[in-house]
Amino acid sequence: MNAILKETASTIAPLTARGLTHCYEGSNVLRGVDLALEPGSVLGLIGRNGAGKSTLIRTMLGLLEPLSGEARVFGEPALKLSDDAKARLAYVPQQPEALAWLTAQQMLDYVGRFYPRWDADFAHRTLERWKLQPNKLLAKLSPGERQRVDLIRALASQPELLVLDEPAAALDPVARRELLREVALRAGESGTTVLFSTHIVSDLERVASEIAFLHEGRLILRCGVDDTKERYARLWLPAAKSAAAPTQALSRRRHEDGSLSLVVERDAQDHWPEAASLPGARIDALGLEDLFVEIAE
Amino acid sequence: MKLMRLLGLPWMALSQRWRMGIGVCFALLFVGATTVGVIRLHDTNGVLRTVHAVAGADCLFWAGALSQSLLLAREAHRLRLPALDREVTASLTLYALLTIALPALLLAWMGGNVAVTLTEIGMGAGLGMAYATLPPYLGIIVCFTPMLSDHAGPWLPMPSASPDRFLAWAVPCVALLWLLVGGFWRNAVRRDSGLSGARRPIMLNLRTLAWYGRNRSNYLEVQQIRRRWQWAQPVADLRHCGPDRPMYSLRIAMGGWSMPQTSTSRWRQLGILLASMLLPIFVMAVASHGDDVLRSIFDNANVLVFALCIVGAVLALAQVQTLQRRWSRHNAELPLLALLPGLGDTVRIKRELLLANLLPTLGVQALLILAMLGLAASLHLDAGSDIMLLLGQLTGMGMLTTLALVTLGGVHVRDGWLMVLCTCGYLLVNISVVLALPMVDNQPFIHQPAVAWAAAIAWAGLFVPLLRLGVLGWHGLRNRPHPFLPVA
Repeated sequence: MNAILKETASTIAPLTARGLTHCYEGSNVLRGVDLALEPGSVLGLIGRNGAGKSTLIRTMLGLLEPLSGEARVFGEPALKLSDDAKARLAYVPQQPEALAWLTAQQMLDYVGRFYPRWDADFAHRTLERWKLQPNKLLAKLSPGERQRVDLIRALASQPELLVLDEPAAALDPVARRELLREVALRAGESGTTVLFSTHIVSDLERVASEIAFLHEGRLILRCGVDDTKERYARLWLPAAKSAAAPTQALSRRRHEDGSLSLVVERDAQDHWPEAASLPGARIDALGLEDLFVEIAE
Repeated sequence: MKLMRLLGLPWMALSQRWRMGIGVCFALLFVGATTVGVIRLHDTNGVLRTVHAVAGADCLFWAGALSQSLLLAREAHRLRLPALDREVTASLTLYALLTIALPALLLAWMGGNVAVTLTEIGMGAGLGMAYATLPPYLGIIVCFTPMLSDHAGPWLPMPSASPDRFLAWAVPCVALLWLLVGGFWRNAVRRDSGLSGARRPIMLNLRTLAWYGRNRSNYLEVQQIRRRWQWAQPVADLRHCGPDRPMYSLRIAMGGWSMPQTSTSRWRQLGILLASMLLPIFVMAVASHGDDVLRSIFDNANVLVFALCIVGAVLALAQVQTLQRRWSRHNAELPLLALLPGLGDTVRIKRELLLANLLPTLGVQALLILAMLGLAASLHLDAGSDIMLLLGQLTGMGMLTTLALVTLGGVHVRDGWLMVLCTCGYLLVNISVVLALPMVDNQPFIHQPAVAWAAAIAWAGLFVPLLRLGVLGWHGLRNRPHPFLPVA
């Protein structure tokens, strides 16, 4: 019985969203987003500024009530999480500003009392390793230092699900590398599931196993990082052949000379669209950054 | 054309609405000053009074409108536009001629002493500019200068008493004042990015606050913590926090004055509060009636009752403001608390959160009620007056409870309405004391039936919307999946 329970718990998706919609002041930020994280995966959520990444994360964690749709964390409704689910989850918001009147050490002591698996030793060591003054008030730390303290707070709770919203935005290159190393280590050794949003493509390539691309409130692409080069490409069609362009494309741009550029995807049989074999048509492989730019532009 | 551009330059740093507002205010001020001047010109001191009025108007004009040129000068320096920098200087010189030299000459022509007139108006304009462009701790001193003419007469001769002796001290002072303004102006233009809030001119600080818009309250809180000396920071007492004591833990997460502190920290904060209260009392005592002020404050139970009532209302508003700060940021305490394990189920969290935000302030307000009733007994006030005083404190308690429920329940109320509600509540608290105490002929105003009826209507006008909002907030809180959702 215990074995069955254990297996069920480990196969439940740590984070799922179904048909999430949300709007701010009349404009739609999320338009029916479906997303599920597999246990142990590292999903990088990418998108331009204002694409809805932070709103999606906050809605998935129950920090925001969606207009419609449902989010679940470890199988529980995100808006009504039990203490058990909360203890297995850690979230670092973009530019964290909590408890500015406490020192870094006080904040970690305070939060640590609530987490059953709190690793005080890790918190202490990492404060030292990242050269953060434990007795300095959080309000007096720089945004980068504050973000690092919050990352320590999240990691010290030894979460099974780690959600980071633009974790590298305020970090210098050295701190960014250290963070990515820590995330990769957690995912590799402890099987921690990680969801992180970013618009720094190189960060995705370093640690993410999968990417999800959010554009204007819609999730328009999701695949393994290594698959992107194989699966997506830019199809260029000369003006004379542009009428034969496939209807299904992730982006479509017409040039001044009438030629057409599209981002296309291989079908289930691993074939490019038929138009790719037309005379004069050209298929260009896309790196992750090029793919991002092509779709986002 | 060039002249018009120079005249329009300081106004470029203001929005259309501010230009209109300042323009209308100064037009009214100018009409008022001119009317008073014309009516009183036949008085012996008529010209001198007009000089005072012009100096006062100049003070406001330079502080409110012309100091805005600092923004342009700063931008000109940053963008390497020396022509614009020169234009700003030329514009201020032109305004100095128009608002200082020209009125001085006109008033001298009407019979005034040209040197005295020029010095006094120059002093007014300089003080206005000093308020806006000097660091806050120096700029605030300007606010006390009107007291000079009333209380510093024995040491500093005024123009009405002895024009020559007035000039002897005033001319060097005015020159020094303008030199100071020039020095700080130059410093602010060249080193603004390196200046901390305490050293930045008030005008630039106000601009920054305007930029932060609805988030200015959060910005001010962080700035206050950053500027405070390390020894003066409140120290949270973390010994008893944890899942076993959710209310205590939530009070730490809410911050503010009601946060549990170590006893050393609590005594230190009390000492700082008392010391900060002693300074203005000392200034008032020295500047006006000697030690009579202290006696009049501590011997007068009326003043103490008034103070207790105001403290209750101020505490309520401070607590509500703290709560609104916490619920306006989605990257601070809300996500942390929403995902913090160990606080219990939703019903328990809501209850503990409400109590954590209400109990400390309500407790202090209850103590204030007891102290106030004790003072009322010593004043031999009757039941009617006691009820009025109670109503004053209960208003503060009601406002706290209602606005806390509104925030926690996620009820969307426009800022303007909240402002009106808080202002009305605060005014009614003040009025309750005025009506309850025997101000005239040892009889409280509340004894007059018309006043009692008007007061009853005023309170009903406040309590009905408070009650309605409170009920909406209560339902909102009950229906929320958890209380740590930001206010829409």
